[in-house]
Amino acid sequence: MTPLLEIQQLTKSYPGFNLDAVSFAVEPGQVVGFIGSNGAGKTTIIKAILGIIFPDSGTISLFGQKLSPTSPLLSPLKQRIGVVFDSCDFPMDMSVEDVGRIGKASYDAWDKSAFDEFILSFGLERRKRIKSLSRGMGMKLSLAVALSHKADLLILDEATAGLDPLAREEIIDLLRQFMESEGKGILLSSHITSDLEKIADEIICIDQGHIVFDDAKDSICDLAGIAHCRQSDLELIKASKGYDVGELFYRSLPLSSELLVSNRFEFKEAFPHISCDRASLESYMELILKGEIL
Amino acid sequence: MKAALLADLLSVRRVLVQTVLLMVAVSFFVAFTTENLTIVGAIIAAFLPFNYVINCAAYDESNNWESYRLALPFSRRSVVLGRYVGVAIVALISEFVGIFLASLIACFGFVGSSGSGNLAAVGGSLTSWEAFLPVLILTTVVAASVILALCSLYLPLVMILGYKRGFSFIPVIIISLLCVLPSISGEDLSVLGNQVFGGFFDYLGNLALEGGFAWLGPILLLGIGITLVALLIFSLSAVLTTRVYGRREF
Repeated sequence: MTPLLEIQQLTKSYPGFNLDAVSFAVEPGQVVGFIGSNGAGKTTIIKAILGIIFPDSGTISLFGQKLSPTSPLLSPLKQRIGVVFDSCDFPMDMSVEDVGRIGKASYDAWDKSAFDEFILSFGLERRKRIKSLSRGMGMKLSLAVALSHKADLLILDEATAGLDPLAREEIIDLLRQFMESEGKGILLSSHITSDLEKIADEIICIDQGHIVFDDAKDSICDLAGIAHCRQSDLELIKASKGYDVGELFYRSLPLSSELLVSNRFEFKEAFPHISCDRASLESYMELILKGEIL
Repeated sequence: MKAALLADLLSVRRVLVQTVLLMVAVSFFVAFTTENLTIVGAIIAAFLPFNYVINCAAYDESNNWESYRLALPFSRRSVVLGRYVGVAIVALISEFVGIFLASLIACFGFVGSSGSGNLAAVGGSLTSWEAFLPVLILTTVVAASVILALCSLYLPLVMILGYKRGFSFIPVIIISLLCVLPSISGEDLSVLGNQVFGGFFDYLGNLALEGGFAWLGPILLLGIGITLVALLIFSLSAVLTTRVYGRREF
């Protein structure tokens, strides 16, 4: 099956920052979560996909079509992409109604009735101006635009940031509904790992311009574990066979240490006396990014 | 391009309406205090397109719009062309509004003078419609053309450097041109202008005469010539901006 989005060996340099040969893909039916600290390169990648910046090298393919930085194909292909950034970025003096007009003029497959339905269900007033919308309402408006033109791929950059838990849950529900149709995909960049745990299939962690891990979410949240070890336990694990020491990350705490294990069930069998909990996405990322290698 | 143009117009619609109302009030004030009606058309024709350019540029930079716009299916070329077409449309509408408004005030002048036809009450020394209208049209067209030429300079700067930085460069460039051009050519600016555009106007004049447009009269023909020169500069600016904007990163 052709990936909706495929990035190969993408590089981009700014003073003090290098995006280092990043490669990944978003397959149909897949939600790819994009995590990493501020300035890690997530937004740079998204901007490169959308043609807002130009990569130094590497290739970006959308819906099977390889694009050069100034390709005239990009604009028609963007008809099939819905984009939400971390704020509602329409001009501040426009009304909600005006945004609908721009959507209609921009997208060939614009579905006015779907947009009107979203506006109604979100409680957005048609004549209200962008500048008077709350952050949550603004994000909902952006999402309404992204979901009203039969997009195949959604690209969301911190779309749930700054929203209250209920609003975030509402947005996650909408994304789930979007994914119910066949052949759709989402690239979702977020600092809120709990949102990604709810919806993502694949998690890509990027740090200082390079991919640190690219794993299935289930292998992180269902299989991986955090073992709570004393110093003697760490030495025992290090000395034991069956574990590749180079892949084990740990973090020292005042009374014990936390050790990230890739399969907590196997670990429990091997070391039944060491308690081992399910790893959250956040703890998994923290230990890989900030932990030391055993 | 249609979507980009619509986005620009919807962005600045409210500000533009407020400006039109303000300019109507200012025009009435200026007309009656200076007793010069022809300036009304020039004020409106000059102010509205420039106001449109400034406000579009300001809205581009606010709220991350210029970046998000490129995430929509707008090509960079359509963004630039939409902006230029918008300015040209606003300039054209402003000319009509300016001429209409000045004519309306002139009518009030007739009414005020009990229908005696004393256009001089508001129209300065131009005491008949036959004399007044061509001069009104010419001043309006010249004002709009000068503004289009100025926008030809301003638009590439603002679309490449952004509103704040682009705008700060304008006075520097204009003053530099005024200082540098005469010293390079060794000629006075008016002489230089005559050298550059004189031949073009002669050519247009001959073309008009051969084409049977002499009935338009020298004043209107001059207006048409000036408009064509402004549109030529404006089109060249659009080509330049399209090329450079295509490489801008946000």
